[in-house]
Amino acid sequence: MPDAPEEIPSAVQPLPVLTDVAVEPELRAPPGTSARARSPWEIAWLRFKRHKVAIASLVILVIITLLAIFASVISRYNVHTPDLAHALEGPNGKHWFGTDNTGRDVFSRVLHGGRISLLVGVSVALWSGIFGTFVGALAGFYGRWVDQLLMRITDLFLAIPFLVVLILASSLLSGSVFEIILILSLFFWMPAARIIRGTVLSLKEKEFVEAARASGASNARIIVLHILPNALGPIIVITTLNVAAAILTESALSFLGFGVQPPTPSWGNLLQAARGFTLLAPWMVWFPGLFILITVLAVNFLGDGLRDALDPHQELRAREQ
Amino acid sequence: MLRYVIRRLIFSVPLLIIASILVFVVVRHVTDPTASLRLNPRATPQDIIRLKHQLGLDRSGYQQYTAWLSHFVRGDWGSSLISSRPVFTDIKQALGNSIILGLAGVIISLIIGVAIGTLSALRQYSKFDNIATGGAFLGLSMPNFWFALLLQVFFGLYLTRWLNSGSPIFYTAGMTSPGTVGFDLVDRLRHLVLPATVLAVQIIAIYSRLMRASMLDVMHADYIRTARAKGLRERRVVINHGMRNALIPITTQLGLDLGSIAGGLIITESIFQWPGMGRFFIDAINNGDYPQLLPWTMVVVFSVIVFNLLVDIAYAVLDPRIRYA
Repeated sequence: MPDAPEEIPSAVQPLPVLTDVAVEPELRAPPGTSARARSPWEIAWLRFKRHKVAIASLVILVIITLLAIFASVISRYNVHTPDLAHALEGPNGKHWFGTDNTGRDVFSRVLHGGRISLLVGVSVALWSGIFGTFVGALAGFYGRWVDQLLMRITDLFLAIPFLVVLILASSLLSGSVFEIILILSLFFWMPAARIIRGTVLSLKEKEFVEAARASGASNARIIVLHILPNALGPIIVITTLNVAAAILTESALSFLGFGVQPPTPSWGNLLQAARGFTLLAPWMVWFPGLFILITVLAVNFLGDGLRDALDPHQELRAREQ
Repeated sequence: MLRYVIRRLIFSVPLLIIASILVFVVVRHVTDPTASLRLNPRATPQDIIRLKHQLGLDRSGYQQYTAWLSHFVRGDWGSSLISSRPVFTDIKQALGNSIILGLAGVIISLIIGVAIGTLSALRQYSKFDNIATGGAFLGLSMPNFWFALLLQVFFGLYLTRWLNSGSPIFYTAGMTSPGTVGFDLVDRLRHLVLPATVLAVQIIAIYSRLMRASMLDVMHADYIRTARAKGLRERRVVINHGMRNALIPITTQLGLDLGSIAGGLIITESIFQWPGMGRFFIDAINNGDYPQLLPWTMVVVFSVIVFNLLVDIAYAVLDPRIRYA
């Protein structure tokens, strides 16, 4: 930070996310305790720690992820084996979340469904984050007709009723998890592209970019090594929020029967299966949806906390555009 | 302004054509109109060839597309493969039903969302604001199809059983009770409440956040200080100077939401068996009914384009800074 005398040169520690953001006085290193100023990542962590709801959300997400990863260890019931003698049993000591119409354990299916739903959510967010960053960086850095063209395409994608296109597209495909990730990623890159474009627009006027150019760095080098590391805050925030949106969309798509296809369980198609039994076996409805709600809510709160920590001026910048 | 509007409308024509080609290719690729005939053991191969000829499937894709387009433009939208009913009347009816549901949901949400957002902004970080923020997060994170199923279980099963009544207070499926003669407003409303609620939960969350942010922004503007300095009553400052300007960003969202009513209520309509555009689309896809899908897409894309345009115009009308810039 500018007010620190012994600032480490950015070549050594290339992580100044909060380039010109004033740091709250309570987050500055107390005088005399440290030889150097706190790094931007430390400050971000301190800011994040104040956000109690975000911390709780992080803990919940870790638990849900662990439950999904170790699903087959935690639940002793097989996801696919029917047990007709115990069909449509309500929640009890043996089957915590009850059983479905063919006697399969709902708890086990919800945990295994979580694997697919989380995998889709995280993958879609990562791919669309990478692609959106690429588009946004090109548009922001090169400006002029490149910017015009890319932003009009972005607008076009935003205007498309995407659930309709997703349904059409997935009826063309076989509904494997990989394909679902692919087609969802095609419709999640736009917010990232817009935000990164704005960030790059403001960063490219900075002195350190000018210095890099003066020392003979190529455009590609400037974008990858000088601009993008400084835009990491907004990228992380938008990617996190996209995880929530992707989980919701995947489950909606699977719920309508156009997403991940049974017998592979996902939270969405578990609810689709429950649809015929809403009155007979409401527990088939409760649990998959509850897991979606808790996960998405936690991801959204986490994203909110990360925004406060990493990118406190994002709203301001968005408005300036 | 007029020139701008006309230019935008002309630009939308190629967009419609591209959309129609894409949909034509995809739909023809996915669906097989002869499938049901093929399954019929008594149908001969000649029957299948005759049907293909009847439907024009033996011609090239290009010929099929242009033939469809020329009919479509002249108002001949063809008829459904399944029910043989004219597509035009079916879509008109479905659109009408979607508009009833969509408008009900959006108008309720607009009123509640704006009220919550304004109060939140005026009492920033108060208990009310915190609860509203939490509620908005909950609304945004709620899978709407799950919420719909919960409402169905609650009203269709528990409440009916508890009240020991024959029929639920709010119906969980359809738009009218079977056997209803003529227009029965009460019956209609009892069907409308649950699907409209599902729509409203998400929209209220979005509108209240938008309104809060925009109101916070406006109330710190110089002209609000001027209005207060002039000695206007606070009520007048908030409503006439504050809310009027803070509503501009909501208008954008409102326009886009209205535009998406034509095609965007797929989930709600299919759960509550509401005979609107969304259900029409899902049924058409599942039946491989391509004569229904193509005009449907045209209507949806056209609606999105028109409402995007209306939003831009409304923006210019509402915000003099844009008009005179």
